[in-house]
Amino acid sequence: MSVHTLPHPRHGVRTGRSAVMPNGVFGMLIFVVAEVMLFAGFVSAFTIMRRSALVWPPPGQPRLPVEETAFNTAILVASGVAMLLAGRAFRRHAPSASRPLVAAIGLGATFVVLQGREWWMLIGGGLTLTSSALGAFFYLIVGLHGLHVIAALGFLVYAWRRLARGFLPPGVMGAAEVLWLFVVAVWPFLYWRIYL
Amino acid sequence: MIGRALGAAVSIWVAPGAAAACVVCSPGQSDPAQSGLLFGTLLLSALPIVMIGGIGWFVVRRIRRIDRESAAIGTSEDPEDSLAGASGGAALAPQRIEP
Repeated sequence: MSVHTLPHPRHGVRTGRSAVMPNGVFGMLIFVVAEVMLFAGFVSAFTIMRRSALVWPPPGQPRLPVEETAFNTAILVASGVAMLLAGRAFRRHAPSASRPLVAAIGLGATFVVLQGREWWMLIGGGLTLTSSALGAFFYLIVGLHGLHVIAALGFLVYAWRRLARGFLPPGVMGAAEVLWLFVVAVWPFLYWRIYL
Repeated sequence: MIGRALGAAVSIWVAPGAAAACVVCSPGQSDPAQSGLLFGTLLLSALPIVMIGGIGWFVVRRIRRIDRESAAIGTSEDPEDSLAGASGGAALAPQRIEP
């Protein structure tokens, strides 16, 4: 029996019923559904506000760095691919998932650092939370996504540490995979609606 | 019943302005703000259906797969170990749960 098939002590008394998916994955899916609706609500509000504006983008505000963020988007998508590979490797032979998992963490951390640099430049250019509707929505939506990325990175690091110790339950790995793929998948949509 | 529903759908489609059904589909369709509203309405309406439908589809597919594998394996073996092996790994393999 490989390390990730060890029964968890909290499973308790077992019956003959089979679960469709680990509880952790199902719980994370419910969370992701709620988060998708949260982002959809913000993006809808932003779209209506943007279409209602007489002049867009607001005058006197710095332009959003479209090219740099496109590169950053590619980094995050690459991180998602690395996570998919990690999940596949985990299902085949758990210890082999370590390398792609580290790659996903590294690429995700790079995305956060580049986003921080972008924010630093935008704030320096005069785009703040109170400078315009663009600034308010930009920092709200992109900031919310950034918080999700940071939290998901923490979860990935936790999963990697458990994997390194030799015991990573499939539910934890599956939940980390679902959360990371969500933050990766939602970003190109946000980029399209906010930056372009 | 179907005829009435079809009639209502056609009349709303043909004369939305007269019906003044909603701010999105009746007045000023060329207004950019209206297209923004339409985008928001479509997004927020379609997403829950797509997501819940997607999860439902996945669950049904998974249950069918478990049933197929259980039938193939038989009831004498330990289903958890057998299913884990048959699905190519144990990471997301079906697990026994507490009642």
